[in-house]
Amino acid sequence: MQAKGGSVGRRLETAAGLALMAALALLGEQLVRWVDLPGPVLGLGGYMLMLASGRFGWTLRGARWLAGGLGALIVAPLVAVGGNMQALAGHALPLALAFVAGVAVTGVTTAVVFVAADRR
Amino acid sequence: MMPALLAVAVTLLAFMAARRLARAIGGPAWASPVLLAALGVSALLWLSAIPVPAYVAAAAPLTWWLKPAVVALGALLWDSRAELRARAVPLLTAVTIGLAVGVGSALGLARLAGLPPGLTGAFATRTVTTPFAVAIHAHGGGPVALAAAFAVLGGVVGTIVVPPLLRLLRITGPAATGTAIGVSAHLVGTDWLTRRSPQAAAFAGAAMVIAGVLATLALPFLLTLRP
Repeated sequence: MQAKGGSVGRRLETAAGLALMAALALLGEQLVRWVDLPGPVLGLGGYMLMLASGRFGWTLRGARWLAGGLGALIVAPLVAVGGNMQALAGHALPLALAFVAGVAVTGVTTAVVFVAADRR
Repeated sequence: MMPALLAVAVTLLAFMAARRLARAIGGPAWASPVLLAALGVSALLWLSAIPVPAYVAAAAPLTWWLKPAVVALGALLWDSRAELRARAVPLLTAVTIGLAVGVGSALGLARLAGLPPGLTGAFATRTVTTPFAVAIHAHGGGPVALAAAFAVLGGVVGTIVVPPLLRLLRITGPAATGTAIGVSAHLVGTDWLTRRSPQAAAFAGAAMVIAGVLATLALPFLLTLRP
């Protein structure tokens, strides 16, 4: 499937790609009965296989569009934390320290391991 | 009760405005559009006396797309397949060890800080990007909203803290930097890198998705071992 007819074709292609992402996520959720993994991750595995087949390159426009706008989907869960402020309030300082220390250790370790493994 | 259409429109408008604002001020690491939009929406809810749970329930149709978004992240892996092939061993080694250190340090620090089990579980998934954190907790019955928030905050903190540390250690290559940002600051960091170094962003995107998949496989098991 190739986008024809300029922007309308591209929009249709994006919409079709989005529909496929949704269908794969839903299909993954059905497969959860047999495989004990989150459904969307099963959908991701299926999508990678589809891309590798070389026949689903047209879906990339929709996938990139959704991945590019991912931030908008996270706003509501982040606002929801406002409702959990009381649970977090008693742990604010230890949480903040644990955040900074944990993230710093993770980032530095990853970079150092990459450099070491790349030299071999 | 808040109409779903209004909640979705407010969220999208707030995000678009936050993205413009972040770009207008030069995209500093602390100005994550997600964080700015969430602050804007929270302020709006407070001013209009709309309860947060009512907004969150009304915005559910938008949040539902986090599931297809996990599938869509496959595009990032696909787009960086050339980098993946060329440096598969260092990338996979660094992501695996970085993730293990991230989860291990999260569990250890949470224990040191005396966090309750509910917070610890959500805190452990701050090492993966939000759609994966949400998928892990939605599947295992954990605190989804808290996990999503911790993943975003982890991304913001990682984008602020990790790049200066890497410069201090004289690690400046785009592959190593991108991989480290992808694992520690995932979506927020990858988005920030996109405007600075497309090559580093490609590694960050690949590292973020690989870390998410690995965490999905390992974290539910690790969380059951938690004391």
